Amino acid sequence: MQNENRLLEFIKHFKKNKSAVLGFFIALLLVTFALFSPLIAPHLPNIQDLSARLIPPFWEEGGSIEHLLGTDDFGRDLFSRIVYGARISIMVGTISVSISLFFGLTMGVFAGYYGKWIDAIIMRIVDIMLSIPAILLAIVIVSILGPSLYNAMIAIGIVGIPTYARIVRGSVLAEKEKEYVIASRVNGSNNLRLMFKVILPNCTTPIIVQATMGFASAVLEAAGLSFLGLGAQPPMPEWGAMLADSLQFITTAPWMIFYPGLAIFLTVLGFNLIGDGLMDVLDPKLKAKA
Amino acid sequence: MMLEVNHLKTYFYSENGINKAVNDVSFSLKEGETLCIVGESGSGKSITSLSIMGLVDKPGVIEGGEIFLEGVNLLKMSEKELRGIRGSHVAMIFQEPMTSLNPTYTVGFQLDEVIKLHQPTLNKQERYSKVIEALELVGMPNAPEKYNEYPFKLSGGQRQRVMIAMAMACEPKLLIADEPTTALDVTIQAQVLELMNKLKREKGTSILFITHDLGVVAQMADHVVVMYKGVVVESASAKELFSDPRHPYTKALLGSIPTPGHAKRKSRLETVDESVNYLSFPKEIR
Amino acid sequence: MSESIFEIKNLTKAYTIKKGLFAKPLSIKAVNGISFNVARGEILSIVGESGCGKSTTAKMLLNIEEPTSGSILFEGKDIATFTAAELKEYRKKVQIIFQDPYSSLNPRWNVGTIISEPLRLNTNMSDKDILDRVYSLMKKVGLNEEWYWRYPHQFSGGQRQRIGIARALALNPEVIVCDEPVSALDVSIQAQVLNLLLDLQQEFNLTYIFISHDLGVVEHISDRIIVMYFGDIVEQKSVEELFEHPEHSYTQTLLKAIPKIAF
Repeated sequence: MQNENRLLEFIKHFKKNKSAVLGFFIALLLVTFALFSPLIAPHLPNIQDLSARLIPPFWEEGGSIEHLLGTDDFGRDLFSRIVYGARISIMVGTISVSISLFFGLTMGVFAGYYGKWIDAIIMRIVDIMLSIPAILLAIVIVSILGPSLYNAMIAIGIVGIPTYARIVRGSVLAEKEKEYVIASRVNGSNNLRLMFKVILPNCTTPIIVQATMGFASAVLEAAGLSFLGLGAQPPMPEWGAMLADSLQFITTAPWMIFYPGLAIFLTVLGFNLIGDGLMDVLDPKLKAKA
Repeated sequence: MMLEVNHLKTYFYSENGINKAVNDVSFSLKEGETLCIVGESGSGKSITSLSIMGLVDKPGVIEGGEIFLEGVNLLKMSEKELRGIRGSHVAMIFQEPMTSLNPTYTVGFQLDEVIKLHQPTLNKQERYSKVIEALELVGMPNAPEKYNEYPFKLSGGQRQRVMIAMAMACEPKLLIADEPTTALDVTIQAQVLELMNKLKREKGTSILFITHDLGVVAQMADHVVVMYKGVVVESASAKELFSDPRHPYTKALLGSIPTPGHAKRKSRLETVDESVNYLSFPKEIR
Repeated sequence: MSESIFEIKNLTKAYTIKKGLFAKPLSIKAVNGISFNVARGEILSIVGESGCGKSTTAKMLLNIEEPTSGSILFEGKDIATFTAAELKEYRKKVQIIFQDPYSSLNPRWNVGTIISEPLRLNTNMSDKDILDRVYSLMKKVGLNEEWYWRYPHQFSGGQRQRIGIARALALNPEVIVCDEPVSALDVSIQAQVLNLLLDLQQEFNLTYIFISHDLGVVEHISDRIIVMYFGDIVEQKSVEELFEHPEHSYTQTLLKAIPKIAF
């Protein structure tokens, strides 16, 4: 069927973009870690073993194969914590992007489609949200709701709304004047159908790209909030929180800070690379020439 | 001979293979004449004109042939030499006048720039009168007033006039016009065409006119080249072509236009039959 | 003359433009009190240059734009007074074909979805019946049935226009408003589409309201012609009359401006 051909064509173009493929494999690794953490991780993330405190990675002097990346100050296995941490990162990314997407999409579609005063009100709200620095807004929201990972996700989700609202509004504005929309209207489509069934599918490209990039920044922001003590609370194996815990051991046990940091870096990099790749592949202008 | 194109080949390379957009095209344009290249989309007519101007971009490559402008082979020239030729000997007008004009500068400023570039010895006052003269030549109403207008304030026809004024300001020997009237209303089109014919008469400019509209061809051409799928299928004087079209494709093309006064109303129009390989017929070069 | 399917009386559309917050709103009349009738089964062309109001008129006939004043009577009844049920019926009877074959088809929908949309929204036909109907429509306009699952970007301009025509035919309309249906096409493709439109008109006894700027096409296809100029109708008569005895000076200018192929 034709849909399959489209998918194949998409894969063909995507494969040509080397950095996007790299990003894809990083993301795949992350998802594998998250799905199969009990199978991959040799230990449970929160099991303390005070006899095995601050063991370095196995290739260093004093390291053992039992703790691949060493242990922390409570004797917890660092590799296992990072593997379980992937679950948290994926959850944070998915939930906060979903929150931003849901509200941003709805606001953007209504603003773009109806225009006039509805547009004015929605976009002023968006402007106000954009005028406050994102991390500050998140801190405010978390301090109101109280520090926890779930509140951090809600905060990050809310912070992301304006970006999506703007992108969606822009594409809806461009699409709604096209003749196929008039054609559907002549045939009796109501406003909701026009907005969500006729117009919105044609605005997906920038949304998908933004969602991928947004996933990366959500992971980063969650780590940031957790680092500040406003997100995940101990003993949760959240990467940002792990960084915060390891600060005092920065000279004695540098692996404790290095590997969670690397995990954050790779995740953010991976999703940004995918986002870039998607932008190249999905850009209809480039595609129309092919 | 003003312009002579011999065996021009411009190919486009992509993963799906080679697209021979211009496939061995030859024609020549005599001094002071108008040559029309006519064809439908995909015929390669626009790529031909871009090739002549040296404006073919990747993935397009000029694979072979010669383009002589007054006996000098353009394809053997460096980019720098070509730039000197563009604008001074050759000028080009495009279909969409709005995108070809810079929206942030006034009409006068842009014309002034062109003249400054080509006649650096003139002072400001002399250039100003040159600009006004150029605008008046193309029949722009209130030329001094229009000097300070921005392009978006002008109508489509006026913008195209500015483009022609710009093209003519450097007094080119050859004017290449790629569908210059396609975006215009018929009454404006008639004025622009008349203007170009006037310039040809008064300044002896040779014109290479690219169009899909056979009506416009009839109005403008001394000689016509019919292109189809990158190939010249028929080349003849305008008179011969319209009174005695010989190639089956030309015949089909002529038969498909409903012409006022000519067509039998509501009768079936002739069409270009996709199942026919028109390239299998002998080319008609007269 | 045969029965009128449309009676348009004093139709006006004015747009107000406000330049700046405190400036007086400026009223621009796109259509300036025009009146005409459309007879059942005729091809009536509305010609004029850009900005003459022909497209606005078409939009008002389709009930997409609301007239500022004046009335449009369809089969004797003012469309402004239609109930929801009558409006639905009206939609089935009056359809449209657009100018731009690229923007008039939803790029994310396949051909089947595009052609079946009017059927799904306006009839209670079963999926099986809809499929059969779409296949027969595709055949009627010269599209291969196998292309049902393809997407618009896989077609040429002419084929896309055929898809648009099939969509317009889906509900067995009585009137089709053709808004510059061939002006974006190559001449040879234009000829094919004109042939198709004429065939369909014969077969289904359709009424066309044909909006165009191309007098060659208009002369070929029309029974009657309305010439518009800056929102006004300057002349309306039969095609023979208009081309042989143009009265208004604008019509004369327009006719003179057409490039003629004559040697």
